[in-house]
Amino acid sequence: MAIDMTYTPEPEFTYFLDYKDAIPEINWMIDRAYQIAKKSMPGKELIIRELIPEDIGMGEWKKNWNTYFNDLSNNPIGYTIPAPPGTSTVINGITYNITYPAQLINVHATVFNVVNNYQVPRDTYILIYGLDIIRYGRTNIIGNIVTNYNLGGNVTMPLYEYADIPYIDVYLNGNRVRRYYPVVIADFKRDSMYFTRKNALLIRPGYTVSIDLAVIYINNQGPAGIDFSFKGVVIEPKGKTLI
Amino acid sequence: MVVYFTSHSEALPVIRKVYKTLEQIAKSTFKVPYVIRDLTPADLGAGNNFFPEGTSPSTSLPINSWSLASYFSTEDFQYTSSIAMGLAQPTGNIFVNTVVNNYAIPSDTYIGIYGIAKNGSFGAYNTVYLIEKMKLYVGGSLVRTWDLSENGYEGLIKFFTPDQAIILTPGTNVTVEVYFKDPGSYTSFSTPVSGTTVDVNVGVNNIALSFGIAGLLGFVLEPAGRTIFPYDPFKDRDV
Repeated sequence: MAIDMTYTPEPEFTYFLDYKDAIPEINWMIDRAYQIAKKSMPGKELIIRELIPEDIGMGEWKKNWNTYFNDLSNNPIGYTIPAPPGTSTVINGITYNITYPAQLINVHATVFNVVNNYQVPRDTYILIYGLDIIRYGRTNIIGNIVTNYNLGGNVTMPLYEYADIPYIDVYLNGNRVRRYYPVVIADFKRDSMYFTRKNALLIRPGYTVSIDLAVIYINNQGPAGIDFSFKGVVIEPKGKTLI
Repeated sequence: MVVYFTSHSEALPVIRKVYKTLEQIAKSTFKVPYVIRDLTPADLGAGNNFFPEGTSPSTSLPINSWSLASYFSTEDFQYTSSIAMGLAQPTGNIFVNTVVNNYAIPSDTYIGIYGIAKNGSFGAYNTVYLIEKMKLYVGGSLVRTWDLSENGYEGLIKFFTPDQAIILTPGTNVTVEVYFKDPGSYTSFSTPVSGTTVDVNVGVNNIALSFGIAGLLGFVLEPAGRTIFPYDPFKDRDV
């Protein structure tokens, strides 16, 4: 089916939540990006392909942030709620001794620099038109612990962990040009959003890109994590990556 | 007449109207370049009230988040007694967490709010608190209340109709309260006898965590460069 390029209204908002709604806008942006790329590379046959993480200097979208989130020593600005081993409390005549491991709930907030001054290669145009987020440790029970009360039985308890992204900042040539708010966090069932031209990014050859991921995460014994990816396309000369 | 939409598609005309209203304000009042971007929790000062009860954290979180609409229960904090003794019976109490506390919107900043969302509640071992409602105060007066009890523990987005959408102007003091409810579903275990000693192999607060995340959806109009620089990539110009 031919692309409907009659779609021209300027969208006075910043994102779509339904891909179906976003398709005309995405088509408009890809076409516009193609025209800009074609203008700068006259005579070259261009291809359009889907964006992959190495195109903006990331080894993988779904980096194992869990490793970071679970490394409590990695984040000096987090704080903990003290419940140290060796302490005890007496409640209604019963002494509760807190013994190993006496896990704490750890609350962290930090910024991960996930792309650091990556320079887009020559003859490469990158269009970012959406993002996708998956959070771990919130809706899923990611592990179980066994609590022994010394009362003649073990009780298995689920562990819940949580991670959230207050915002994602994108810098081009050292200037912060976008602060994305992943509204997708507001709905368990949703993991994608699609930008309008007001919020999308076309990154041109030679530009440097940096991306900061602000996160807040809470864990006790298990990891919390975020999988994050951008949606987009790359426009480049045929043969550069694909033939 | 409906007062909200649950579909973003259906709400787009209202969202567009909020955006255009901010754009008109910018064109008529701003003497400097401006940007309109998505509202983030920091724009309303959310972020310094992570644990309203149970603990007294010595530091504030440096990154603001709607997840500050959280609840940490004192009684759950002592879960070992609560559960092992079966003492923590359901209270059905409503707890209020003031996630935005009399925050003054900066000069030359406008905020348009077109929706509200919660991403549900979660916690451990039947200690999950439900988000019931949210209240928005402007200048000390209650101007909006939203029910968020629908969907229980699940997420929910409500997009406003034009009557519900609101533009907050510079200097306005804003307060946002989130109400949580104890669902009352604790499970009791064997009850130790008074005078005994119980070794707890897991920290006292392992299952004490209960969260509900609720926030606002909207736009921020502010001078260019305060947070981000304007960049229209589809015009032939460089950053």
